[in-house]
Amino acid sequence: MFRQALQFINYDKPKAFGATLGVLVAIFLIGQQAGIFIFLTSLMTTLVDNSKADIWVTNDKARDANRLGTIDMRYAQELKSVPGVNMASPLVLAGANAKLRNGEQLPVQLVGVEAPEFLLEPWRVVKGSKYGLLDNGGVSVDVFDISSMDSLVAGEPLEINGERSYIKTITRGARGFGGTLMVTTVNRARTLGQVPSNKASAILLTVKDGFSADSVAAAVNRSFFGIRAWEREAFSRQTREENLSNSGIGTSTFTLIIFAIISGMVIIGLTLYSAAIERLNDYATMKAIGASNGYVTRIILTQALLIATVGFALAALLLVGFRKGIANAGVIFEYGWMLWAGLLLATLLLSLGGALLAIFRIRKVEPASVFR
Amino acid sequence: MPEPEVLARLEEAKKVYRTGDTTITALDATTMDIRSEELVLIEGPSGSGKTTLISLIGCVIYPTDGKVFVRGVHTSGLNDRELSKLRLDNIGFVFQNFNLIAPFSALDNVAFPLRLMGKSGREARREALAQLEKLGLAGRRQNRPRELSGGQKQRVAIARALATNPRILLCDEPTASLDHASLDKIMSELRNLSREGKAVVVVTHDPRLEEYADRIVRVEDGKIVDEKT
Ligand SMILES: Nc1ncnc2c1ncn2[C@@H]1O[C@H](COP(=O)(O)OP(=O)(O)OP(=O)(O)O)[C@@H](O)[C@H]1O
Ligand SMILES: [Mg+2]
Repeated sequence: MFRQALQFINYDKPKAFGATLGVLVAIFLIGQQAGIFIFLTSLMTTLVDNSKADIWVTNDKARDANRLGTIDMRYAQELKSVPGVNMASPLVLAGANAKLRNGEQLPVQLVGVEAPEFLLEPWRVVKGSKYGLLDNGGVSVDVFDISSMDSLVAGEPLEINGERSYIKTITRGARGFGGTLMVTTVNRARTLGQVPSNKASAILLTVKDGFSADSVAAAVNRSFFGIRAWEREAFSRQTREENLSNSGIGTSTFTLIIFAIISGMVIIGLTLYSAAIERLNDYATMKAIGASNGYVTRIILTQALLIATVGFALAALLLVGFRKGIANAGVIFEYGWMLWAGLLLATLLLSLGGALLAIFRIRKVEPASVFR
Repeated sequence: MPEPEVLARLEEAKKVYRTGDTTITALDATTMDIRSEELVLIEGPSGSGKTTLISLIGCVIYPTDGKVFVRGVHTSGLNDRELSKLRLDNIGFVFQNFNLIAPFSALDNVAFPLRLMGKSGREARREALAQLEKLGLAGRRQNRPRELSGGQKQRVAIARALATNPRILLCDEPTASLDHASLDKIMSELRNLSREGKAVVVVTHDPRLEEYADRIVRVEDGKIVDEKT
């Protein structure tokens, strides 16, 4: 079967090439879109996912870690008395404008975290350390967010909302959803971002050994009014859902993937169909000799699967390259096994779906047509 | 040597083609037995129904009316799978225009029905090569049909029909592209095969073939008009 299918493919190389290209392009496009989608969704939840907090306590109206609103600071003290709470430490998010020494200006999101807990500390640090943030005017900066990254040195001064600050910590690939993240202390974030000292964006909690985050969050929600405690995973999920339903990223990615599958299927379908039409007489002969419909169906399917395998392998290679290339530009994400499985499934769908037309035609051909 | 047996039988079998509002009776109600140990020649002018006749025997087309039996099995009741199997197991076909499978080499063409019978690729190719050798074509085994001459194609087609050692061998103009020497070689071989117990049916225009026949059936205008033994 394999040998016969291979001979049919070999006999009509241009068509096999066309169909393989169809698979390759469709699967590459899907993988590319999915990669960007994975990257964007990871940005949406990056603050939550990179925090060391077990629980995020927010204003009860907050549904998105990127738009938290404010919460009164008195809760920080009160939350410490809830059974199971270990640390309670404020987080302040504030928008600001930064001006680099070379004159480059950029809008930034200040992330004020409290030392020494550092329940949200700069991640992917490549130069300096989180303790640099404690120095006077210390902030973190990601190399991908500024254009003059090569000249970046720790200790370099910059202005944030007109105040002199210093780059003390440099990260590579710790990027925000809305804009450039700059991590600093709670106090400095308040001063620079003009946040009143009795307000925070969220209170981050850790729980003591022997307590589950779920039950502590439930306890907080039972005893406080006006705030809401989220177990970290739950808040991450909530944030993602909120952003996906409001942004259209999900719909556009989904639509693109569907279109890639449909157009791929059409290309492959038409190519396999016209290849089958050209070889109609051969299939009729096979039938006249004694091949059943099941047999000729399998020959077509095997051809489709061979083409799919090659197309998928090439697309996978390109995607690995794409991921590497784009990571160097600061778009960092991983293709998990689920994505590969999904792409494999899409490949099967494409090639088997594309083979249907050819199969219907071949099954209909009568062995008697060998006499024409 | 056992008594000749009836390997295929047409009973009032008729084939009518309808194209638009014209109907063509390709073969009128025909009754005919195909027996083992017999080489039957079917003659007649072009369009008289010769190919239709052997296509009915070979179960490649269904009769519009009447019955076809192959090895005692009434073929109308069979589904696609059963009919394919019946053809594969009992019938070897040499088609009028060879109908070699274009993407396959000569060897793979001959090996193909053997593969269908469930033999391994290696076994099928070994037997196919032996068959090609008999017909003097071992040297062209790797060539695809389009690289072969008409006579070579014809011999590959014969090798393919013989590969499965079928009881019934149906040949539609098997000698049209052959010179006298090859014709004699092939017709003698076909005659030998009939002596070994096969039924061999040969359609031809060629009067040179008459000397090899046990029975000559003349078809004209869809009817058997004459039978000589
Ligand atoms: N599929 C078909 N549809 C319509 N008419 C057909 C079909 N097949 C055969 N015929 C007609 O049936 C008649 C008998 O055809 P057949 O092929 O049996 O003739 P033949 O004796 O084999 O001729 P030749 O010697 O030219 O091969 C012809 O008139 C032919 O046109
Ligand atoms: Mg004919």
